[in-house]
Amino acid sequence: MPTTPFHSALVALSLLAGPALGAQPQSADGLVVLRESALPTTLVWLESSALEPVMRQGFAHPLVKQLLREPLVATALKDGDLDLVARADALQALLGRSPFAFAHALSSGGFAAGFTDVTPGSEAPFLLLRGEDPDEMEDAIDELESLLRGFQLLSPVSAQKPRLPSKSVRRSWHIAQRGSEDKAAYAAWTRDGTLVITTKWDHLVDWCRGPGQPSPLVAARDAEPSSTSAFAWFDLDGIERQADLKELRAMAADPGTHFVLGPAIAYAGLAKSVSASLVLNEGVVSMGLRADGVALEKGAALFPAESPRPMRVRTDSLGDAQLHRDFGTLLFQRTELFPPRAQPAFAEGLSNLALLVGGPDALDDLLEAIQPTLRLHALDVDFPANATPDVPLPGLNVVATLSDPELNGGRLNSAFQAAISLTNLEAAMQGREALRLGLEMVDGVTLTTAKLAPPAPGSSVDLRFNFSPGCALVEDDFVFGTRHEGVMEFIGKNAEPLEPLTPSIPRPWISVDHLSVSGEALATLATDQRDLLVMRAVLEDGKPQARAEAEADILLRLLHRLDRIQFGSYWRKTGASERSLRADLAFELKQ
Amino acid sequence: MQTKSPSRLDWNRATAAHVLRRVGFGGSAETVDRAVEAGLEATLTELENRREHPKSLTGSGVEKLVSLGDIVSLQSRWMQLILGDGAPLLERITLMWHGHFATSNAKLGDVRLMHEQNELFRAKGLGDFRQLFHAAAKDPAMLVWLDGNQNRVGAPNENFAREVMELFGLGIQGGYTEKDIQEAARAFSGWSVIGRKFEFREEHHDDREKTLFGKGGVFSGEDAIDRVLAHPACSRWIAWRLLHTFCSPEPSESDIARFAKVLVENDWHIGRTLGLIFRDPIFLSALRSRIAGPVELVASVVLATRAEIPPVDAVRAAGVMGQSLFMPPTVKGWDGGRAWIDPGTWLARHNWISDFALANGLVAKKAFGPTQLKDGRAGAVDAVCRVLLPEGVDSEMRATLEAAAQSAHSDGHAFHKVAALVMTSPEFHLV
Repeated sequence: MPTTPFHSALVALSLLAGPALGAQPQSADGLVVLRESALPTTLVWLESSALEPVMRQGFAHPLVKQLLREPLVATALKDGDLDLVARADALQALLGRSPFAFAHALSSGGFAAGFTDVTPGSEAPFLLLRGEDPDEMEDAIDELESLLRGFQLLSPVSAQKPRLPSKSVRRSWHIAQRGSEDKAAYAAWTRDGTLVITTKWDHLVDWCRGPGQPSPLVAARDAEPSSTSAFAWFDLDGIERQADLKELRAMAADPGTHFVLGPAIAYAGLAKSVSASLVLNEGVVSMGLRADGVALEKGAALFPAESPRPMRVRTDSLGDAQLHRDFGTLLFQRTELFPPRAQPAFAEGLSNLALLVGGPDALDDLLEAIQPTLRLHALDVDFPANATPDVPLPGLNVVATLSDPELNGGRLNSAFQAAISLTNLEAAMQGREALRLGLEMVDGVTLTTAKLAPPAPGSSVDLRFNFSPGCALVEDDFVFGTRHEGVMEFIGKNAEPLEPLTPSIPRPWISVDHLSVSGEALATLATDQRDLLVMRAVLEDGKPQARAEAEADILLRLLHRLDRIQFGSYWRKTGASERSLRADLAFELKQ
Repeated sequence: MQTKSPSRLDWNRATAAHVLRRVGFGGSAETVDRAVEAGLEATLTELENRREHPKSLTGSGVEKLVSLGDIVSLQSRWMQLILGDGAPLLERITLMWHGHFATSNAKLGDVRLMHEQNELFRAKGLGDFRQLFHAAAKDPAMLVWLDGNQNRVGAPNENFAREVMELFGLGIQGGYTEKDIQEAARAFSGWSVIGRKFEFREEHHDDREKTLFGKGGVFSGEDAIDRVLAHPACSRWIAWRLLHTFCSPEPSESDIARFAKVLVENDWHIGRTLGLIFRDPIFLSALRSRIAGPVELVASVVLATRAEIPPVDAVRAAGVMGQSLFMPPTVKGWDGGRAWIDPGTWLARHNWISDFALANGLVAKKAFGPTQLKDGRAGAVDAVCRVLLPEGVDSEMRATLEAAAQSAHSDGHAFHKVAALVMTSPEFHLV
């Protein structure tokens, strides 16, 4: 899921810091005011209330303490010849007080940063700071001014530049090294207590004059919970006028994104604006992505008209997902939905599928018969003692509800058998053993299986031994599993009462995809394969061994702290032809 | 442009760098300096004895990596063993045997078989060639690759027997006849691969009398290999292979005969024979006389500049230049020499080097040393040549490099620009 660049690091750190971090004290009022002064031309906006306690507590803050304890961070600082404590001491000597206290005085009432121009080579970043205590802020500004003057970084502003509105500005500065005036920054301390720093004088004038009308980011932020610790907003239409967003925009026309990530993620790239949020609550770290002003046009048919009935799952399941993939619409309307370059792959894929199910007409019928709500269940596999793969993976069941199940279930069963035969043909060409097809009866249901003969005693057990598939028609549901034991279990458990997996559906949002994965399962899988993870990081990413190991250990610690990971995507109608999309990712921590 | 010819038998930075490049895959300026200080004998001994790879690349993770069945992962792991420089001669000889007993995953499609063959070359590559020959002939990857597992009495498959003589044991001019190949094929009948293991299927073996190299008898596949080993062309062929790889691309007949004798006198021990080659004047005098293969080139650039690039990128780079590990193009392996260079592969070399030097990979401070960088662009040519062309450069090339350094947009850029020019010069592609 695309998020702001700082999200993954923040989430990782907050998870590492754990419960000690807790819910962040909020400075929502100050941030609200800062937000309301955002220029309508703002293209990127970042704000965080989580910085306030960090600045207040400095090195004593649990996040900072944890960060400094991390071997990876310590190594990076050492490699960069950077001693943070020594630097802080040096700054303290310069400022006459703790640099954290100094930064806190400037930002305790609000912190925001962003861009009003992203044209390559002409970027205009800005920083807004506001201290909660006006006296403390004035002291800090005095110190800052004295410091800049001491370093001879203050220059007079050219008389030819437009003047700042004096009634709204208390002080202003032109910050530049002598001889490098073209690389200047401009700052103003406004009468409402905001310190504005930007690289373009004209933009500073605009900031000081006030926004006139509120930026759309204000409404986007208001739609997020008040407890949001970090918020980012991107005016994609505005950015696109200045920079290249082709890849993001192209996601909507990429079949792979539709099939794998679903329509909500695929169309998010078409939004007029995107906002991202991070909420740190006791026990839960949540990330949200919201795309507004999405013109779906023909793609609207790929979304569910209403939220599906929540699926029922085992309470101890490794992972479950309920996905909306309307294969019929995707394939029948492929020429309208996808560009010409994608069509040959569709034609080839459909031709191969048609061969498997008994011809193009049968395929058309089948695609119409598969209901768009798919259910996925990850299962723990009890491998036979003599055939446990070197890299054992969980099994996966995919369940689809069919209309006219007898006819279409038979077609899918034929396709399964034909696919196994083709796989066997290829295996035979390479001298590998074949999968043996078989039929079994389980609770009155016919289960079709494909099994590999166990490997010779003492020999290695490759990844392919994870694959011993099966399929069955259970009432209206056709289930295909990567392990036949999983399908067998599905048949047996089908009659048992299970827990509903309920996505948090905030009305009027309509649920598209929902996924839930056990943290324990992921942790076990990753722990068992730590050496493989490390080796791949070394071989494919070129990371030094020590760094790869440290990163793997951080990942394992994160996973061991997780109870569950929940992902949900949603949509809602916001205009005649516009939609809003959102995706939420929540890390639920063990208590 | 020509490199300045040093006195070829002197022990200096140029010859020390040559030893590091030929016995292993090269080294940084500091490694060259250490070698110069240690002397030839100590340097050779150190390179010969260094046989330890990090446990992380030889432990349980490797089995899991192989289990994934992804050839790129296996290629990357081998490249990392080369770039890690823990066992330079071992990896150099493993690469040589991979070309000699060439087997390709393009046909096998079985990463585990390729891995096991690779480990076989690593385990036996510097030992008794007779043991290696027997083991490589019975290697499941080899038998599948050459259809040796389809050789049955009454329907002999001569493919494997032909390569045992032509490529593995005797060479194309090895003095065998078509009849010898047919008779050897009968001897190999019944060799089979079951569940990735060699298995002798007696019911498929032709146990009748055969005649090989003029001698008759009832003999097995193992006996056939012993007869190939006893053939006078065999020691010459292996001596040629060693000299071709480690010394000159076209060794003289007298050197081949001399080291064929050495090989036999040393009980076919490859490591000991190589040790004597390394200490012979022909070894040092072969400085910059052979076109570097892609793997050699990429590894020598990375090791010389102490760069940290993902092994998978190095694998891809070598592949584009014409050498994909575990995928030799034919049963002959890679032809090497002049065949490494054609318009396409030369362009690929230029592209990779330019990208490495100017964009992704080269870190000037690490490659050339922080003290060398202090002189700015004025010292760029000397600093870069010290690392990449210790032989030095002639005045014409120096002038070109100096001009490039002066026209760079910054001091830092000057080092990258000069490095790109040096590495794309023809001289640099000779090892």
